[in-house]
Amino acid sequence: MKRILFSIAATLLFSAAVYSQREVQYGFAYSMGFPGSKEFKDFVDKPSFAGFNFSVINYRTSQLGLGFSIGWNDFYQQDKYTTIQYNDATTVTGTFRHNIYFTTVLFNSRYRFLAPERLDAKGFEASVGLDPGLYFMTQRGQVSIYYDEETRTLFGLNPSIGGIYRMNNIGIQARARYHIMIDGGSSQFVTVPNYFSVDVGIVFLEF
Amino acid sequence: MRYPLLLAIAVPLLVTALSCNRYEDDVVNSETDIVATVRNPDANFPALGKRYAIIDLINLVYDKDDPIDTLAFWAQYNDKLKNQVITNMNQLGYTLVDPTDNPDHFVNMTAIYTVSSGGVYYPGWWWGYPGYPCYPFYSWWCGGGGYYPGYIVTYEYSEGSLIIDLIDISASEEAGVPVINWYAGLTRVLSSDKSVNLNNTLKNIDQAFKQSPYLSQNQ
Repeated sequence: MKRILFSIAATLLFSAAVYSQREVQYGFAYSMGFPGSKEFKDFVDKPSFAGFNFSVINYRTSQLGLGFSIGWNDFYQQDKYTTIQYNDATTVTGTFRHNIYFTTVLFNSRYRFLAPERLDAKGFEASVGLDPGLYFMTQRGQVSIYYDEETRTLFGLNPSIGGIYRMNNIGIQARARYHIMIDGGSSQFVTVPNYFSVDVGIVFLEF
Repeated sequence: MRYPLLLAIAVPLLVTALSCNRYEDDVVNSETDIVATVRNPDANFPALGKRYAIIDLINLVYDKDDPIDTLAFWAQYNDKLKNQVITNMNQLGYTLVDPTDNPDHFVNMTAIYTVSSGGVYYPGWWWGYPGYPCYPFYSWWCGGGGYYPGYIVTYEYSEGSLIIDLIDISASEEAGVPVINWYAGLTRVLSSDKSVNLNNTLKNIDQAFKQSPYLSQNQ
């Protein structure tokens, strides 16, 4: 999988290098997250309404763009005075708090469905993307005042679909992503914390 | 170029967001209670008999350098806590008898008072705690540690915890140390803090029995 990603990235970089710079998009987005894997839902099944994403995409051709993004999503759930049976001998009642906190640093690649002659016009620009990178993750399980915490760094990627409504040098953006962790490793909490996110925000366009 | 200015805004915003931590919020008292129960999975409680005795005065474990007024503690808590346990035991079909009247089980209660948790303790550690009282009726009581259900190996008790043990008397006599078939650990329920009230402790005692339906003799 890593070899495929490298090949895609190299192709995009080579393609971009032979064209002159056409447009840079600076995006700021509010991000909502939704647990994806069953394991994730077992730990936190509530959506995250705390998230943010900042991206810079450089379209060096009319349709291919490369860039980077940084962002975070915070998943949290509290279950008050809940009873959990751990095994056939042990039962615990208490207030449980579960938290998964992602900070992402991703390489961005985009292919947009926009003809070159429409670059300066108002209208909708749809795109698909594939963003590989690093997911810095903190997971925490807490009952009452007692907690255990684990920090991991995972390699992952997110295929995405979205678009921008362009209005001269500014736009409104929306993007849906599915974040897939490639290297799960082991965890006492969630081993493969795949999740969905929906970003909505504003984009500044620089020509 | 104005876009570096956007970066200058975005990066501090992101760093600020990343530094936020909801766990820095205080956990309010109502969220600090834990009721943990552990059973011996091999124990068939209906077959072990219905007759039980209960300790007279709740054992107190406290820091010798920070002694408490034991008489005041017993005056405030002893009968109320014991009666709540007795009510639950009776509802499960058990019969309270005198310790000298050949009970099948013995209910032991221990309050961890001014000992703050500094780590993880093994269940039963208080059996060897300096000054832990011997019980007059049972020779095995002062043994060097009891047998606890082996499923949970560590559990943290903190100041204000109440421990309830259900001890198998005939097995204890045979083994020479207390053999515990069930115990309940109620953490952070006893405190000089007035916001941690007695009703909350009584509620948690009820919960300990409620989440242990296998104790019932009415099966």
